[in-house]
Amino acid sequence: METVGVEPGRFRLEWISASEGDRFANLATEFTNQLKALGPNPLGAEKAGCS
Amino acid sequence: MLLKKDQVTNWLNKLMQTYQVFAPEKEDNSFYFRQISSGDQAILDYNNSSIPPKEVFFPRSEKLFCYRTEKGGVQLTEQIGEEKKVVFGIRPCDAKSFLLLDKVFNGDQYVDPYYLNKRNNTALVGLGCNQPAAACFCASLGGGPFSQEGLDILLTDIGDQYLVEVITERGRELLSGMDLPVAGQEAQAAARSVKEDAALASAVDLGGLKYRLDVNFEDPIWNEIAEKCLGCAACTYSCPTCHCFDIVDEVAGKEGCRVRNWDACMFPQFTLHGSGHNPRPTGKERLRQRVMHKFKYFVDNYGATACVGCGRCIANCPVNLDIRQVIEQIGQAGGVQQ
Amino acid sequence: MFLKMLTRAIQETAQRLLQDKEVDLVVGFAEGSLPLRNTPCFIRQPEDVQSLVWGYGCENNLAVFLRRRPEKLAVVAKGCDSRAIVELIKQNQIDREKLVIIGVPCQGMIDRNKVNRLLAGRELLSAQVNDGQVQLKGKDFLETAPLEQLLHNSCLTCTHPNPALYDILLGEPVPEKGIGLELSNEADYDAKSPAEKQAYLQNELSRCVRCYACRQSCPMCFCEECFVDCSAPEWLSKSSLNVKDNVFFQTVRAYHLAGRCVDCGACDRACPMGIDLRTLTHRMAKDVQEVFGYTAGVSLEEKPPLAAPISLT
Repeated sequence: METVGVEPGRFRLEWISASEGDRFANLATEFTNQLKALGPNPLGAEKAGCS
Repeated sequence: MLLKKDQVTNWLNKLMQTYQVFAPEKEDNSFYFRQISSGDQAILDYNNSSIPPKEVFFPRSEKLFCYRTEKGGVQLTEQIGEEKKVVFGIRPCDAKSFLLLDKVFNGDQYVDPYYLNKRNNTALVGLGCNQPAAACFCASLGGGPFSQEGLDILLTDIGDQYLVEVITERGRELLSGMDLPVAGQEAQAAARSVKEDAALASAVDLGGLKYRLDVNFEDPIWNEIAEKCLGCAACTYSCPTCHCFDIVDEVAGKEGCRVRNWDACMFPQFTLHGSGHNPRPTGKERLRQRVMHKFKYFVDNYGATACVGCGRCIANCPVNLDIRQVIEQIGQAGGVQQ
Repeated sequence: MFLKMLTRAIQETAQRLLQDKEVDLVVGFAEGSLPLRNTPCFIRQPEDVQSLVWGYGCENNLAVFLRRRPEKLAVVAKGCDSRAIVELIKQNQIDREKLVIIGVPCQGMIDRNKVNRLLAGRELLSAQVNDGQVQLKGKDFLETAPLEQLLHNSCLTCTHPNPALYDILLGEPVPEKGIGLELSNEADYDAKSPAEKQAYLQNELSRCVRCYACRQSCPMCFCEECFVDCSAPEWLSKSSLNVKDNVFFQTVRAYHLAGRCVDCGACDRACPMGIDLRTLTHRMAKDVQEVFGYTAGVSLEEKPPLAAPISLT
């Protein structure tokens, strides 16, 4: 992914057990905010549309 | 008329006031017909473009219309352009290819407004080939390095200037305001000499080819011919007369576009039915179809061979599959009565 | 000249194999129709072996023609071809028992894009290679360049020029160039920021016309339905003007090849638009080497990393 120019912050590997519901929720929120800060994924296609 | 080479930029800039001008541009070591934003971007010292200029009328990807669903209904925006264009420096083979494409896109039963609108609004300024490339065989297909077929103006390079031959009214219009001097005897003689010297090194014998293709559908020669074909579309996308396309809808939520993309009969999915059946299951059927389309079916349907001998397929094929050799092989195999 | 010697050796070997009915088909190269080009060639009769030659245009990976073949056949294989064959055997696409590998140690193949760049628009009419020098002749010119200057990048950085697997070996083994050779632009590329990398890739892939010559020439691309052709779901746009999707196509292709790609460069050489594809494929092969300690194509016994349990050493 680094080779393709996807920022390292977009990839994350975590170990979460099924009983760690709280931890999962927190991680998801945190990662979502992290991704939002990075902006659209460079690999993502341009949206089709009238533009 | 005569046009000095250092006047070309001037002419192009003038044309750009009224027309969108497409001319050969250099990228790395290859040439592409692109819209220029300034006269000095055009490079006329070139063999031929990597991708044929059919892109101007029949783009690789073209939005046919776009839509957006909103509260009141659906808003449709059609994308047919009406801008006037000039394709500058096009080779006679490519100009001829448009006449062949016209038969498909402007036929009795089917008239394609997307292609036609551009085609009808475009003028073609051709550049004759003083030194045809080794794989060029346009003359075998009824063309020639200085053929005027399909052109509005033909330029002949005679050193530091071009002999300008006006072929159509539209061509004459392009030159308005340029006040070009009339070509004297010397210039005309120079042009004649250049045209005579332009020799094609390559030729194919089409005699009897159509007859053979009429009867050799089941001939095992096709297995041999197709064996090394990889089944990519390098030849198709390099070809000035290939015209197959696929229409898809690209959708993102409440808006989207209907897009036409180039397609190729060389791809396995080209004839894949919804049922899963494929009448052209292997590369052999597909290669046979491509050759037959160009040298038989197009002749049957439109009375012309769908090849202009530009040689791009030969240069671009990853395995050097040579259409000239294919034609020869078919000729030598004779014909098998079905 | 060693080309003549190899040509003769290939012809003699092919003739013997066909005459003795050891194989029904020999896959090799014939003379191309343009200077410096060769073309894949399929010989079934002993009297036709004269068509087989060796030259500096034998750049295709012939392993692509060997998958799922019913007959007994022989193939003329360079280092890269033989490595592809090793992987294809492991992936059950080739029956080892039915294949005779005629190995040819390879000194590299000439890149006609480099020749074109050198000639700057002048047309090449004929070429000859003597003593490491290439003579390029045209209508009004004769240029000479060192062979090294005109070889494909994939050949210049080749770490396995000698066939890894073979039944017959023709010619002398070529000195190996050593492990871990860098692509000429690799250090520069690695130093780029993610945005710069994207910009480079998008610039290269803006020329892509989605002809799929890369995929079709690759021995390892044999999926019955390629993800690009899948329309439900439509993983990526079919339009070649969608440059980001062109990058996505090559990225995913590299991923699908992980552990299987032998970095032969056939994709890079097949591309009619001269796009740099090896930045991704070479990188993927290197990453697999670094992460799994596995080099594709060198050992028939070694299991592919993604098909075997990982041992953490």
